[in-house]
Amino acid sequence: MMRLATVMAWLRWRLLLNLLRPTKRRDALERASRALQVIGPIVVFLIFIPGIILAGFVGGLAGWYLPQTGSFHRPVLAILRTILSMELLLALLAPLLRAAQGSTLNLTRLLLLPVPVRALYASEALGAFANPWLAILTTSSLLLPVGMAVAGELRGAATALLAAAGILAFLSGLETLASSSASLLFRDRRRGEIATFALMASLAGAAFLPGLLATFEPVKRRLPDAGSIEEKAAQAAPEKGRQPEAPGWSGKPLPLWALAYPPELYARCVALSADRRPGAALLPLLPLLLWACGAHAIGSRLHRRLLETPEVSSPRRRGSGAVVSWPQFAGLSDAASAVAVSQVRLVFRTVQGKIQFCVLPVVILVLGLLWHRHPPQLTPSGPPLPVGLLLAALGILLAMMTLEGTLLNQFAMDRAGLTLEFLSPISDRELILGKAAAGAFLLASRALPAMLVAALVAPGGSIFLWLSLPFVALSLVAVMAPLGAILSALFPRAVDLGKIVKQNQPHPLAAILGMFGNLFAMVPILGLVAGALFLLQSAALALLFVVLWTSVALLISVSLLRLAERLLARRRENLALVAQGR
Amino acid sequence: MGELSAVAEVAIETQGLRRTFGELVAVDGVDLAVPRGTLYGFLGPNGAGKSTTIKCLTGLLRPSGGRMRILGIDPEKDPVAVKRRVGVVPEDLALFDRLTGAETLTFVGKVHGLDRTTLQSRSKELLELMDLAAASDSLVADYSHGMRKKMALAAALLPGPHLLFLDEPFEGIDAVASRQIKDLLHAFVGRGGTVFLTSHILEIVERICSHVGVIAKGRLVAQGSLQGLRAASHGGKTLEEIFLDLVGAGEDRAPQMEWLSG
Repeated sequence: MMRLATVMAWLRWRLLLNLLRPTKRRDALERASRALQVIGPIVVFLIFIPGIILAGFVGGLAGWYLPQTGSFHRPVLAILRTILSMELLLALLAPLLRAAQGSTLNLTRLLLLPVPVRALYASEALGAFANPWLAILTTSSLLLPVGMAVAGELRGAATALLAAAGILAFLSGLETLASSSASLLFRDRRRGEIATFALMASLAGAAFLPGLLATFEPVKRRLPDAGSIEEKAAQAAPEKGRQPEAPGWSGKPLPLWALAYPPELYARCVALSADRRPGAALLPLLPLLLWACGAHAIGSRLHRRLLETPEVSSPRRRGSGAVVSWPQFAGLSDAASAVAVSQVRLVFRTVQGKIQFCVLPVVILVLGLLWHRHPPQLTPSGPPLPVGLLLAALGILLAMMTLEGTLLNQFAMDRAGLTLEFLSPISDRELILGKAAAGAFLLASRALPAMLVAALVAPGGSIFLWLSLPFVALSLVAVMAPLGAILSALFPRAVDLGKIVKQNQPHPLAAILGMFGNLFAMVPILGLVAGALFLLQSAALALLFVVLWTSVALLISVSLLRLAERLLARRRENLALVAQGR
Repeated sequence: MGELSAVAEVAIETQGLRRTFGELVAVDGVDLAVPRGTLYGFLGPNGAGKSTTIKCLTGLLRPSGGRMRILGIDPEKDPVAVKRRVGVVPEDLALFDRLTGAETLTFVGKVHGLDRTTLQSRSKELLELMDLAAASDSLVADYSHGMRKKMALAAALLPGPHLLFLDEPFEGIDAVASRQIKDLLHAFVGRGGTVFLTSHILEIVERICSHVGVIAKGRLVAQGSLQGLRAASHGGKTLEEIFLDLVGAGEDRAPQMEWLSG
């Protein structure tokens, strides 16, 4: 077992180190950009070690403080409960998110080794402690009993130590269980993508829910004035918080609801141990240990199933024999149009592309409802704002931001498809124009529904300003599409379109420079519109200025396209290598 | 296909083709001469420079030195003209994961400017030939390796190229598909097309290729018709024996490793 643990630790270490090794087939720029990508994790790793030490110290301090007579236990326990709830959420969600990002358990190689399946499971469960959140809880929960022992509460320390073992075993079991389930789920591409979409939509929904619910909450309560707040605070102060708890503060050893919630079982166990009731602490300890055993029993069963079931591939759709519809982009050559259509299809078939398309109108709708129902709380005093127009502009802005992932890595995101494009009779200009047209279409497909929602939720405002919005979008994409081509050629990054978050993002440097590019494209529009509206007080002039700026942006775009074309010709080799994942 | 016969009798011609990666010389002064209408097998041990050569010839890598002519055209001067006449199945198969099989062919057809009727009939024919018609509406991401290889070959054939570059076309292909591909290549060559393929399976190369080139450590050590190579090796030798002699492995004895007791 120790040998296996050592080998696994060595494997993880070597994999980390080998990330930094340069390969011969990269140019200096490529090596530099790759190095930049690994600096982030190294910095996080360096911060992580002092974090663990600090967590241990805090845990020890809490263990020493809790058994002291006259101490304030409730705030300490409230912090403990919050941390444990977060740990539980992370143990469940992190493996799912990791799987959605493309990092599932790859056990094929391990299965070929002469290692028993149980040992593989044990190494997996132990590996869970390498997660920062569990590592932090490990040091703090193990040093908490040490603190208690130092405070003289030896029996309580022993019970708290058992409880720490129980909660850690439970969380590692839960993490392994979630990890195996996620791996089983995400083995199949289509199923995995549906799960990712559901997960991301749920997370987005959870983020919007409070806002949405707030819009239907009746606004009847009068805000209390400052005087009454002070009065209440003065009354509450001696009652709560200021009064140190007397012995017996830990209360009931095991309420029924706590049986269903292991973090509460641990918190009760610690509280009773610190309250010098180690006998009573055994009551929550036993179900906690049962939870830990249960998590590992189910986790190991699922892990075994993962090992024993073969890899599956998505069931294939039967060919209908129908002609594939392949629209033509007006004004583009056949080749450039084919590039644009394939790019649009690729993006719409990714989880991220679908989410961005679906979520943006919902965001605008929620904001519109909030604004609509609570105007005094959300708008500053003064003249009424054209809410619909502002929301529509925000929709364009957000659509542009969601498009950055595609625009700023437009070549390497095609992966092997880029090789096909390079092998096909497509000139550099056609390739760039096709990608730019796809960018414009994608922006329109995301911004238009958002603008429509904005117009429906909050109609009104100057017709000139509404007319200027499409020009705003055009001017933004005119600058960003060729700039994106330049940055994509300079800083390509192999991505997996089926995954989310990190695995699907452009190179960090491209992202930062792209953000500045976006700002550069936006600032003149904001300045011109503000000038026309506030200084010249004319919406028609605002439209005129925006149209003029769009012409300038198109001129800038031509120069940038030429630069992108020259750069693409020089960077073809590197792009082909990166797209192949090398 | 006949239009080029007068232009170039040699489909691929290189002079001193060289490609370096830093200090590593992957291809070192290769002089290829691939006659039109032949099935040319390009052989070499792992890391000999086969893939690098094919990438230079197909425009995926820029040569560090030397000259090339593909179907009489200089690919560095007019890469698009060369690509219009050439079909390639590269190492990574060059397919969009998120397009269906039918869409992949449509993309290739559109890029080559095929009209709708031609595209439709050729796609149908190729999908049926490759036994991919039933999976034509599935994303390429869901294809098996063999299916992907057949799809890449279909995509390379769709525009009706004069010259085919195939990097390990028989790797990961079942016996039935392998037979189909061999028949297809013979038919293609029979109609005046040229095939330049790399393969590790010497038996297949011996059976289907008329001409062979052998590369070792970046240098072309032999080139010519298979018959000519046999004659030069003083007769009776198989391609495997000739190959091993050429790459300098013929004298190597089998490793002992007594500990492999079985």
